[in-house]
Amino acid sequence: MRLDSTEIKTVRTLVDSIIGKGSMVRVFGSRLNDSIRGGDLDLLVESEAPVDALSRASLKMDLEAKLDLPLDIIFLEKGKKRSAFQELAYSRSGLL
Amino acid sequence: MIPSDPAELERQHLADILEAMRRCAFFSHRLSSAIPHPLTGNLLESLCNDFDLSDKLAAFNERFSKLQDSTAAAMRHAALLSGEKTTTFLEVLVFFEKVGVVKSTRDWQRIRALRNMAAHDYSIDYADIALHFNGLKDVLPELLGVSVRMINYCDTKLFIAPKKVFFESDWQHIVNTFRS
Repeated sequence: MRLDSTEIKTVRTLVDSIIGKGSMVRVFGSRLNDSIRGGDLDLLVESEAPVDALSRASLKMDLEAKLDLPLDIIFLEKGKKRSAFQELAYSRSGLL
Repeated sequence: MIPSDPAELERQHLADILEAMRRCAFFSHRLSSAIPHPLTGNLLESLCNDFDLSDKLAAFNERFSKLQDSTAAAMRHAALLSGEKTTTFLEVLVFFEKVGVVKSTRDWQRIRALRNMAAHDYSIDYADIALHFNGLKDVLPELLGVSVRMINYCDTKLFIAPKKVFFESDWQHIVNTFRS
């Protein structure tokens, strides 16, 4: 996984503060491939409860600002049925 | 007649943008009032074939986006005409935060992120769609406030007003409700 310990800590801290402690964070997409360089960061964030739209926007904005990376986030809710796309992303992800 | 003076063209262009802003503010406000709040996934699912609601939601999304785009464009041009040296939009935002048009640079950027996330999303999850529209409705007063203060700034500091006067009574209602 092409994220250093500082970047991982930044992601974890912001997810905890904006979405809530106990949320699970996974990485999918190009950042899991150690043989290539660059690329945006794709995250899956699974929360206990629904996350309102403004909190989702805050997390994306703050992460992009802190990491200086373009970023996409898929939000999942524990226990809620996933779409085909969410399932695909989940199956190709790694725990942060 | 179109003047050849670039400064006058800039002023006319800003007047055009302010008019577009006002139209978007008027329609966003009207559409927002016509959409049930808060929306829920269950309600949207039960009304998934409701053409009228679907049309209103699509129009609200569009007008909200255009309101933010046109307000941002107005800020860029107004900063230029105010003699501000700005190279990035963040500098433009900081200037308008300083003069009280934008209450918080961060809040503006957050609204931008909210709108952008929906523009790139293809969700068919009704609960997610409801969350998105509830979010837009929650922040619309803030965006309308910026628009009202922006038009006031252009009027009082640059002596530039929206080109044509439409929806005057509706606009006064928006001004009275959202200016502070």
